[in-house]
Parts: sequence; C-alpha cells; structure tokens
Amino acid sequence: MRSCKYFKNILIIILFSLSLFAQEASILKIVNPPNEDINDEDIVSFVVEADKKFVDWIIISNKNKESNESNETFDIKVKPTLTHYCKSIHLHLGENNISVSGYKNDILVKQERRMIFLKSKVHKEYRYPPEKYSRNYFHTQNDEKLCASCHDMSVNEVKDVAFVDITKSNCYQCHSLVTAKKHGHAPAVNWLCTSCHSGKVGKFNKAEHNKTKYTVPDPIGPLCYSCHKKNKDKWAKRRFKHEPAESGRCNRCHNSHSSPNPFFTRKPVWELCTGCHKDKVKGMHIVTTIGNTIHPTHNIKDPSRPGKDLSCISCHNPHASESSSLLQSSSAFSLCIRCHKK
Amino acid sequence: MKQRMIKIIVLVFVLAVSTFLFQSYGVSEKLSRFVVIMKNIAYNLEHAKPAYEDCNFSISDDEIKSIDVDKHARELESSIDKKKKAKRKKVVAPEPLAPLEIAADEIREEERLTHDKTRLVKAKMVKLEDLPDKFKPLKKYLHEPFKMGACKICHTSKNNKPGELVRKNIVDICYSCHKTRYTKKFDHKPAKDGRCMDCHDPHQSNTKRLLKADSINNLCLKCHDKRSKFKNKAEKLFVDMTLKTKHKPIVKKSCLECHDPHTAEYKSLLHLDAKMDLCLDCHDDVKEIVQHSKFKHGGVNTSKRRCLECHDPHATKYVKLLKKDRVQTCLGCHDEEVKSDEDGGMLMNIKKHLKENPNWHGPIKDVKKEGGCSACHAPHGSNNFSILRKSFTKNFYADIANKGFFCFKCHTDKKIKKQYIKSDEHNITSFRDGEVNLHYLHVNDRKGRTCRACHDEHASKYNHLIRDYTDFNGVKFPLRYIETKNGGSCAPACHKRFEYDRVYPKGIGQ
Repeated sequence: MRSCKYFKNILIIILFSLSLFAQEASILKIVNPPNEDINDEDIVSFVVEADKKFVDWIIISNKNKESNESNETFDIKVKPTLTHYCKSIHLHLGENNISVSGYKNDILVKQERRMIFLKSKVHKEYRYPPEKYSRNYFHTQNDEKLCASCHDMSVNEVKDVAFVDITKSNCYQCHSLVTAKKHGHAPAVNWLCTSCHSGKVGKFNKAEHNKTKYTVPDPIGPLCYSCHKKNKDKWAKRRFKHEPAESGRCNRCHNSHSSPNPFFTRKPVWELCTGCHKDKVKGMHIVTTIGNTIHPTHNIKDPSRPGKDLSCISCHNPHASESSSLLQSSSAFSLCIRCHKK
Repeated sequence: MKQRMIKIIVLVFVLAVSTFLFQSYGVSEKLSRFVVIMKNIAYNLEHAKPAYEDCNFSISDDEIKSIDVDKHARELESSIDKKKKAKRKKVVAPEPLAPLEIAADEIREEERLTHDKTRLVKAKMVKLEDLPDKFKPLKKYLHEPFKMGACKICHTSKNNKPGELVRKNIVDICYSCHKTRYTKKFDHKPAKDGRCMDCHDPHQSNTKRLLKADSINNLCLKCHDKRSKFKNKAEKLFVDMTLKTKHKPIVKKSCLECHDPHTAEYKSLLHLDAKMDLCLDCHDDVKEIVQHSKFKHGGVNTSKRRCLECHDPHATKYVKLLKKDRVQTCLGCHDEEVKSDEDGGMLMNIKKHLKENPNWHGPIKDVKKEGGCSACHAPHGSNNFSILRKSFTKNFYADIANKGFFCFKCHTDKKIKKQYIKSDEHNITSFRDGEVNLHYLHVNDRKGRTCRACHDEHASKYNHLIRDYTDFNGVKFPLRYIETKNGGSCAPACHKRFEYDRVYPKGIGQ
C-alpha cells in the first residue's frame, strides 16, 4: 500500500512537471537547428516557435567572442497569426553560441541557446569538431511536414532549364543567402539545385544514404566534371596532380554556391593554400636573395599577370602540372623568367 | 725571429678577418645553397624535354578526318576526264545544229525512211499541180509520198469518195512504212492508241516532222496546258507555262529536252529517272554538291521525291522554279521536328519557332531582298554543319574575331573589333555603354563568346534577336534581357544583372 502511495505522489509530480514543461515549450521553442549541430555552409536557418500570448519580440543573436565584426542580431516581431518564425543566420568558423530570447513588454521571458559548429574544409583547426557535436539533417519527412503549412516543400525546377525569375524557386524561399555573395556559381545562382543535390552519395559519404533527400555525393568531382569536361581531360593527362583535385574533392577549395573571391574559392588564394600548407606562411620559400630578404609570396603585384596580385598560383598550378611541385612552367628558369625579365 | 713573429701575426690577422667575413656574409650557407641550385640546374638539364618535342608538328586525328580524300580523288579523276574529253572533241567535232532538231533527230535516226522509186512506180503519180485546192498553197515541209504525188500509197480511188484510205486504221498505214514500233516501258497515250494524226499531219506542215502546230512546245501544250479541255483528267499531267519562272530548256529548246514524245524507259516519258538523275544530268554544279558534300540536305538526299520536293520542272510563280515562296518551301517540311541527316539529332520545328517569336532575322523577314533561309543555308548540301553556306561554330566559346565567321558576311566586323565607338560611328552597334563597345567586351577575349550565345539566328521575342534562353553545357539559362530607351540590362548565368546606357554610361568595362 505504501509503495502505491509513493507511486501516486511520483505520478503527480511527474504530471505537474510535464504540464509546466509543456507550457514553457509553447512560449518559445527552437525547432531547428538541434543543439550541438555541425554545419558546412556558413548560414544556418533558425526556426522558432513562439506564442503571441507570452512573447512580443524574438531576438536572435550570434556573438563572436574573438571579433565584434561578425556579430549579428535580428529582431523579429511576433504576430498573432503566425506560430513559427524563420531566420537565416551567418556563422563564423568554429563554435557559435547563438541565443534566442523572447521578450514580453521589454522583459525577458525566456532564452534558449544553440551551439553550432561551422566546419572548415580549409583550416585545419576547424576541420575536426569536438566530440559532442554531431551532424543532423533537415530535409526529412517529419521536418518537411512542419514547414509545409507555410512553405511549398516540393522541388519545382524543370530539369536543365533555369528559372527566368529565380524567386519563383521553392528552394530560394529559405536558402536565398547561399548565393548572395559576389561571385556566384551559375547553377547555384540560377537555382538549379537538384542537378547537384540529387540525394546520391559517393564513396566517402555512404553513411548519409537516405538520411536526407538532398545530399551531394562526396567526392563531388564527377559531378563537377560533368560540366567542366575539358578540365578533367586536361588535368588527367598531366604528370603531377594536387591531391584534392585528383581525388575529386573540388569543394575543399571551391564553394559551389557563391563566394566573395573569384573562382568561388573559399578564401583568397594565399589564405586558402596556407590553410593546409602552414609551413609556407613563414620561413624561406623559394630561393632567398643575397641580401637575405625572403622572396615574397603575397601582398605585391604579380608582374606575370598584369592587374592581379601575387599569390601561390603565380608559380603553382593548383590542380595539375607537368613539372614537380606543381609549377606552372616546365623548368625552373622559365618560371623565374615569367616575372624577372632581363 | 722578429720577422717570423710578424709573419705569424699577419697570418693570424688575415685568418681572423677572413673567418669574420666568412661568417658575417653567410658564405657557407650561400655556398651550400649554390650547390643545391647547381644540382637543380643539372637535374633540369638532364631531365628537360628535348626542344623538338615541344613543337607540335604532328597532325591531329581531327585534322586527318577533315581531309576529304574522296574529294581530292574526284578532282583528280575529273581533271583526267576533262583531258580525255578534250582529246575526243578534237577527233569528232560536233556540227552546229538548229536548236529544234537536236533531240528529235537523234531519236528518229533509226526510223528515217528511204523511198525507192521502183516501189512507187506501181502507184499512179499525181502531179503537185493537180492536187486538190485544200492543199494549196504548199507548206514548208511535205510528207515524202505526198511530195512525190504517190497518194495511192495511202488512199484508194475505187470509189469516188475523196480521201478514202487503204486500211481502216490510220496507224496500220503509218506502220506499214514507219516500221519501228514503240516498245519501251512507258508509252505516250496517243502513240499507244495509234492516234498518230493527233500530232502529225499526214500531208504537209510548216513545222519539221509534219507537226500540227507551229512548234513542238505549242503542240504539247495543245493538250497539256492547264487550261486545255482535258484539264480535268489528271492534274499532274498539265503544266502552266504562263507562270513567271520557266525552266530554261523548255523555253530555249523544247519539251523534248526531257521528254520523249512516243515512248521512254522512265515514267513521264523521260530519258532518265525524274526524281534526280534527269536533273543532275544537266545541273553539274548541283550534282557535285548533292553527291559529294559533307553534310547533305535530307530533302534532297533521302526524301521521296528528291528534287521535285521543292522544285517544279516546268514553271512556277516563284524564283528558282520553287513550288512555293522561298521560306514557305522550307517550312513545308520543317513544320515539325525533323530528323537530321547530319548527326541523327532532331532539327527544331522552325515554323513553330517563327510563329511564337515575332522578331525575325532579316533574311527571313525580307525574303525578296535578302533571300530567305537560303541566304544562310545551302539547300542542296554543304561542307559546313547545318548546311550553312560558310563556316560557323556550334560552340559557346570561340576565337571569333580571327576566323571570319558567317555572320560577318552581312554584319560589319567592326561590331566586335572596335573597342571604343566614337560619336560619329554610332551606327556600328547600339550595344554600347557610352563609347565602350560591349560586343568587343563579350567577344574579344581568350574565350570569346560566339554570336549564338546571346542571339537567336532565326527569331526571338526580344529586339535585336536576343535569345530568351542560352544553352550552356546542355542547361538552358535565361538571359533575362530588359530593354530600356537608351540601353538595357541583362542577367544571364554568366554574370549578375549589368546595365548599359548609350547616353548616360553606367561604367561597364572601365
């Protein structure tokens, strides 16, 4: 009998706490992304559920400890008709601590946090996220049902025909920021998403099979070469190849959507290369001159390519080359002569 | 002792100085580096490619493919043939003949009759003066028995009925002398039925071969005119020679250039197969194109009626003996997707394309002045793809400025070669931002874009034949062209929306 009594008490407590929890959940709740998520793209879409009864304003902010530049804060007004609010937020490399706060009459009602790790394909220090982080996929059937009340979740692109008005694309509705940067890759900028996001997997990401509808195969190379055929043939013939190019992981250096840098490189060329080749940042590279000054590798004009800055690609071919060290010229002399003319 | 000491001191001093210098300038390091460099040089010298390997003197497969061996062989052959012919000509010089006689004489050679007088002795001769009045005055050509007054060969004088014949059927009388029967595959209906008198007069005529008309053509047209009384029999047997364009042999010579009046091996009483062989017998220039060009027009090459698909052999309202107007002739077949003979792909439905897109390319718009489809396409065949008259490229990128592509036959190449358009040259192009020629920007590049990247060569919804979609690697990207009063803007896949203005420059290409 006594045990039964305890059981009743416990049940009551549990029910009470559950009711509290349920009430609290409806005040403010982050539907997406889940906590401790790994991201590849520097944009994450926040979906917040809020109730007008308890919350007037939602403030989403991403504070960067190291620099104030990439701080981002959004105010969203809660409307009586809507329950879910979406916002795309920029991430900085590494761990992001994003807070979502709900205010009622300028008083903080509730605050939730999300830790999101932006993985870098270039910088070694951000390549491997801490163990607590895990990768989650959004475009699953359950998630899509949730969005379907506001968004058309179907794919409305015609194969191999780009949109005349890109805003008509269903993908554009949520992912518009992906292509907002200066240099846009044509298929991405024209919202031909499914030509790459086919849901197929490659040999490196077999585990992602069927987890989401829109995975991209890894290695991505064969997909890239389906358009860039000439490059494939050209590089295949050459003797020395750069490892990422050879293994078809073009997206390690290139962002296939858009980038502030020409050729959609993830960083400006010199930063991009030194992301992996750290030893080339300092120290003697190329021959030192008699006056003990180091041959520059960046920050000056490139004499061989008028109008462009000197960088690693002034001397090296980033994909493949006929000569060792992926040099642009067949011999060391002709390489030097490119700049040092008489 | 002292001197030795001094020597030692000097030596030590020199040594000290040299070691100091050695260290301060890092000579050892530099030496080692020098050694490394020299090693590199030696390696490169050893492993460098020999110079002659760099120069590419070998012929690539494409180039080999592009050499048309057959054509060269044919050229050789034809030149040999010509020489042979020239030799033959020297031996047998053809006699100049009156135009009407050539063909007819050749045909009739075997059946020309010789009248021996011994046979005629039996017949009662009638002098020409005694002939009935209806034969007077005598005409230019007389039937040989008539001329001799041997009326009795054909007519009897038993009864007093004038002109009664020896036999009931005239044809039997004719064949009694003209023994060659017409036994080929196809016969002319009157000849087959024995109605020789439909065409020939048995006594006399002003035309050679005793025809019942003043010329061969008029004789034929007596029955075969569109307006003749037989018109309703079978449509295709009748021609309308009043139309503007006439086939030259008919006008200059006669119908017999192609047709045999009595019998022939081929349909329509022709010397050769009507569909093509007959035409190519005379049209040598077209023969070379039709038979030996790299890309052939399916309309000539594989169609059912060959030449006659487009041309009428007699006369039409339109130029080049076409059955319909120039563009309409082409659209007769190209009103649906047609399979290409070139690569087996499907050719576009150009009729639909023209219907949907109201702005047409000049030659299609102004057919009379510019020449319609055939301004760009050679209808019989060509060595350029899409049977184009001059070379062009299918590619998106090409070094267009230096190759003299087809478009610049009509459009000035200043459009793409001038970087800046000065104020007095504004008629060159209106695709400019202020004075900056935007054609030049697009085309004169390492990978210059071809005209077809932005322009549709047939028709478009937009002005200046700007495409609505451009094909790049099999994907259709819209150009999103917007025209304004003094310029316009474009947002293709290649770049984001750029605006240009002729009057107030937006600063493109600066």
